[in-house]
Amino acid sequence: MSDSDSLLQIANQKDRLAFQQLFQKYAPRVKSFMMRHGADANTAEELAQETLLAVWRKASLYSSERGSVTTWIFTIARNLRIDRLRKEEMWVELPDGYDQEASMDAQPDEVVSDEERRLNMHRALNALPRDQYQVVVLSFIDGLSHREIAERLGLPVGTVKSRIRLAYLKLRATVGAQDE
Amino acid sequence: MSIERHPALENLVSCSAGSMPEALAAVMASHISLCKRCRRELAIMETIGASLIDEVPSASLTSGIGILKDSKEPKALASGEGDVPAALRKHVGPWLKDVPWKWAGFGVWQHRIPLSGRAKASLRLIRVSPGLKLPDHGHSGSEMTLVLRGFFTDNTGSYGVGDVADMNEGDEHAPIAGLGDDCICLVASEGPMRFNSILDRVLQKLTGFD
Repeated sequence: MSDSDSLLQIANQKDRLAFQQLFQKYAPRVKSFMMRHGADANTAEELAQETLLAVWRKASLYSSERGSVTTWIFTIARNLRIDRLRKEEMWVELPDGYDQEASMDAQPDEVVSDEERRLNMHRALNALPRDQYQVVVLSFIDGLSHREIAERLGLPVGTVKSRIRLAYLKLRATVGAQDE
Repeated sequence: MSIERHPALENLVSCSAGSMPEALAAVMASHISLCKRCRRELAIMETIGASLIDEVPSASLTSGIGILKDSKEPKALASGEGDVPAALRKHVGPWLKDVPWKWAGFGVWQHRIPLSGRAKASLRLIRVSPGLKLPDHGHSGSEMTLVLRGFFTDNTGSYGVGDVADMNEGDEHAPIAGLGDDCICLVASEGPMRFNSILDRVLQKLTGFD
């Protein structure tokens, strides 16, 4: 069963087996994501549980037009992380509140499957020059701001910004998005 | 009216990664709620985060699946009538006309929006009378300004409703509010403004407009 089928099963029938499958796949990754942000093992596990519990509760809100299941789970985990680990005000509450057109609409060549898109992104990430890959990871996985990345790497903030911008432009090209 | 000025891509990336400092993130979230183009960018950026999570080695869990509660439907973001972006409503209410403005000197009214204790920047709404020129100033950190009503111009161009002026440390400008309506903006600043004239700096001390 694909991830989006599992979600559908959960949404329609509260299928616990389908949920278990998603849990086993994603909870360990979300836990380690939280640990990268400085959560201790217990807190990280709690946050992983909470992320997957949100998947259970919000399954009916997921729509494959809005991106892959992994992306959806990433956004839930990211929001929980901001809320709990940084104790900051939650400003970016994107996954549920935003309307459907937020998706990558207007993609006529929908023949590219989720799986292909995922593989393309992996390849593109690994093809980035090391210095660009590094700042992208520090931003997404370690949750560091541009200033914090600059301090950690001993670089000017402007250099960090331009590396992130360059990396993004390359990654965006691989998913076929065009500049307007 | 279409939005023409967007935040820098690297700042959107930071936002989608959840690694943007709070005050700047508030301006970004407000802009994103008004801007379809940036929402589309953000959706692409989130796939990068998802791919990277895929690459993180898994941590082993010490417990199984927790209790699955069939709890209430998740709540939607604030919606309904109002000219305040959804992200800000729980702090300032739905209408700009109801904001409790405070006089800040230089012909400017402001309303500070509280941030969590860890925030190192400030977030506020400012209201400037039509045609008023703000003193020539530089910035000691990043500053992001989102126009909510009216417009303003500076040496980099003209900014209307929904547009974002994304200034870096060291950038200088002297914004002038457009004619017509008051110009109301949401402004996040990482450091105080640095006015270029001595007189303006003295006034800044007296009024506390930083």
